[in-house]
Amino acid sequence: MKSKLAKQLFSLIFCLFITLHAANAENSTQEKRASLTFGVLPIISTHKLIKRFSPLSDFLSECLGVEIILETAPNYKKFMQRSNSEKRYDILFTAPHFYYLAEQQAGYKVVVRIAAPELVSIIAVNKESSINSVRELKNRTLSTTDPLALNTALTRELLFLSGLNPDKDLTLITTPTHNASLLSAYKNITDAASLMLPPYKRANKEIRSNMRIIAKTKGVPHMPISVAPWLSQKEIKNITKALLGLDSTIAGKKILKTMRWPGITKATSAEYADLDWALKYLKLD
Amino acid sequence: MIEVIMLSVLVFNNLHTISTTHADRLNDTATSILNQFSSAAGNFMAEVDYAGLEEFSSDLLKHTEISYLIVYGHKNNSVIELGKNVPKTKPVQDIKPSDVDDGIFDVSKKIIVGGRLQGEVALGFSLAVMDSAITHARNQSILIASTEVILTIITTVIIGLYLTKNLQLLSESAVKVASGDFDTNIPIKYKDEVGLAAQAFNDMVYAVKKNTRQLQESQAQIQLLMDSTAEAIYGIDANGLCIFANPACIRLLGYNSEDELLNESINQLISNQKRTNTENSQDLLSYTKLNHPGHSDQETLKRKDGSQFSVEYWTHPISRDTEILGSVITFIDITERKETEKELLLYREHLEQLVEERSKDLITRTSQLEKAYDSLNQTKDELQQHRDNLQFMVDSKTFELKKATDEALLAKEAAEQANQAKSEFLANISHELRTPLHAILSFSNFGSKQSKELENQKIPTYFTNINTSGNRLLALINDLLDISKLEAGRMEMHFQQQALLPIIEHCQSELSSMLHEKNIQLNLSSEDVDDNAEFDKTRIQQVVTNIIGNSIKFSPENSSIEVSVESTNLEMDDKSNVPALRISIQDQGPGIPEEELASIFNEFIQSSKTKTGAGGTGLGLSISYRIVQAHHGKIWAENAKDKGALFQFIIPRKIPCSSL
Repeated sequence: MKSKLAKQLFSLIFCLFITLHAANAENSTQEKRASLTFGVLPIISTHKLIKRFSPLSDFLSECLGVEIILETAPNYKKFMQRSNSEKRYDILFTAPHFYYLAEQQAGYKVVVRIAAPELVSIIAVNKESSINSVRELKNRTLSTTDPLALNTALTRELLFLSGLNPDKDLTLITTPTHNASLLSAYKNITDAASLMLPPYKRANKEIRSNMRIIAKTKGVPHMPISVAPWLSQKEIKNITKALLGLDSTIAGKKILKTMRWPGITKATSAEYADLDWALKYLKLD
Repeated sequence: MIEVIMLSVLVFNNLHTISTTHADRLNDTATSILNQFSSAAGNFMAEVDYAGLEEFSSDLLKHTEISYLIVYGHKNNSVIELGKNVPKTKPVQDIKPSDVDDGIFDVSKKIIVGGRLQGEVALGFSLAVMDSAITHARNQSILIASTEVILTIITTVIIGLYLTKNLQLLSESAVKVASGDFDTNIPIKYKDEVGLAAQAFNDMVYAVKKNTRQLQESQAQIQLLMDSTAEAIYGIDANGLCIFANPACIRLLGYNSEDELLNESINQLISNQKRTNTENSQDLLSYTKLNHPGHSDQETLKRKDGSQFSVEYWTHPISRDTEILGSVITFIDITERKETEKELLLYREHLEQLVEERSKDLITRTSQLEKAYDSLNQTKDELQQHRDNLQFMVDSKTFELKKATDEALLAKEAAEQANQAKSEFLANISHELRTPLHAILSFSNFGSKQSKELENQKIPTYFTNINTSGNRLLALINDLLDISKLEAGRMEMHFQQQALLPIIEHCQSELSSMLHEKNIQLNLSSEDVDDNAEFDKTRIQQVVTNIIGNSIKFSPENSSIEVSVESTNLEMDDKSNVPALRISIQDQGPGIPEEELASIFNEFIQSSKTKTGAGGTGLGLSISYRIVQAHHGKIWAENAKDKGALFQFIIPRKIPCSSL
């Protein structure tokens, strides 16, 4: 009788020990991560980027109860290196094709994306230009953005699908911004310009009235926000919940307005799964 | 000594200023570099581009004063450490260079990008450069100050010797001038301040010499003047003691020399005889004491021998600033003049007496003349008034006579007009009476003589003609009777409160055959007017029939006559306004000649248009006029603006009580 009671008591103590140990293990993991690093692709100047993303960073910090360190990089290449090789960022805001690579190489998983129509690039020519189709760009000059930018990848893919070799059949001129690319064609420095559709729509009305779109690329899902694989499920859940909750509070809506995002929606890796075509344009050497 | 103290103060002050300036400059430099660096480093920090930041920072280390540079990250961990003297622990910031205790001025600043803290930068500035500069400045200042002190001492000794020598020469020359040697002259070697002083001294000596000579000449001239003048001149001091006297004075006072008078009081010269004129009773000494000029011709002086003589004197005070020194008295002997004045006084009194007597006589005569003149004026006024009265009477009589003549002429013209109108009327009325009578007689005679031969159907025509003419004759006679009654005031009026429009409509009905005959349209407009008034139905009907009948007579065929009734006010004889009705009748005929508008309502007056063929006795309008008058109303005619005649009459809605 006594031995049975002792056995039962031992079992109870053992269960309690296991439970407490597991709880401690969980707590110790969280204690290690007193801060999370939020990496943001340098899509605009650093000063503007920090100013624009700070409210979102503070919002996440408040929701998650940890310090959020907001970081960017001097350029796309360095950013990709930090995210994919150095695995520096816990939370990642990057371009769709960069995300595809980050998932492949570092295991980042998309949780949400900007709730906006697919990202599309266009090729525009001066209104008086004789060019009417992509094929007519052969032996011409085409202004583009950063070689690693999504716009450039989409444009190259369009040229390729139209039977043109982007590196041989025409000359691609790199410009620092989408607007610079458009102005090059507007001022007849290049024969045509490629840029994303949203910046084209925001361009000066007078410039647009003197330009003509000759082609549109295929679309890709909008900018994703992904999380590092080393985060716990609870952390991932909390981050997802916080980001999706932006729409439901006045403070959150104000942040969305600051970010110029129409909203945040849940996203899955499957949406970005067919971006393998872009890998051939991400020349990191 | 003072120079040394002042130079020491100046050197210490300069050293302090240099030290402060260097400290301020270092502080400003540090602040400026920190601001620029933290601003530029922000992007590197946000981009976590420490390599880029280090490259950028290494340029900063070229600054000689910067001892070290440390950039701290988010967690105060140093991400960049550059420089020779990087502290092992995070340095404590110095507020200003003077707080430095270790030779390094430690400063730091947060790195903020887009409002977000990215880290901190700490810089150390070595004070060695600043201290070296201050030491160099101090050594230079002391060297300059020492040199200046030595040079000052040497210069002071040289200048002192030079000045002492020249001052001694100036002093000796001044002593000579004081002793009357005006030919003294100081030689001038240089044109410096000493030379200028010597030149000024020489000029002064020359001026003194010149002035002394002029003074001597002036004194000689004054003495000559004193000696030669006939007027006595006598000088006294403030106590009245004689200080000088000229020969004329000595002579007049009977003394032998000036010495006899000197220091003698002037009171001894003044006679005790009472002055005759009290207005000039101021004595000689009092003028001196009052320090103002004086003049009198009422003084008597005593000679040495005691005899007295009258004088006229003038005193002029002598004073320096406010101090009275005395006065100069000039006087002349006026004994003879006084005697003459006495005689003149007697003669004047005699003359005044004579003038007074003559004046009295003149006043009496003037008074008599004034009385005579007043009387003459009164008579003249009376005559003028009388003449004015006569003139007024003549003018009044003349005016009355003229007025009577004018009235007589007017009456004569009126009578002649009336007579002519009556003659015309009689001629006309005779014709009017004779025409129907002639028709009656002709047709009755014709019927009675040829009744058997006549065709039966013509007999009614003859009787109709006789009836028509009889009616016409009857109407004429009625008119004549009416006018005679109205003239005589025997027409009886039966005033009753009743509506006017039915009366007009009745008249329209009566005159319908005439209207139909000439195809004339009669339009009656009243526009909801209250047509009630107090009037004699028969007589007003007569007025309306007369006027509309006239209008039909003068209207061309196929025309129209407008009749309107409206409310209005009527001004009564007592100037009061009473409610009334206005009846207007306008035709499209030829209108009335302007010269006949005023007389058209007169008896025996027919319009010239009537004479041309419209027919009538001219009594209708006259009767209408008198009927309207009997109603206390008003009737008049005028030519319409467009075409035709416009007749209007107004009758009060209520007949005044006095007429009932």
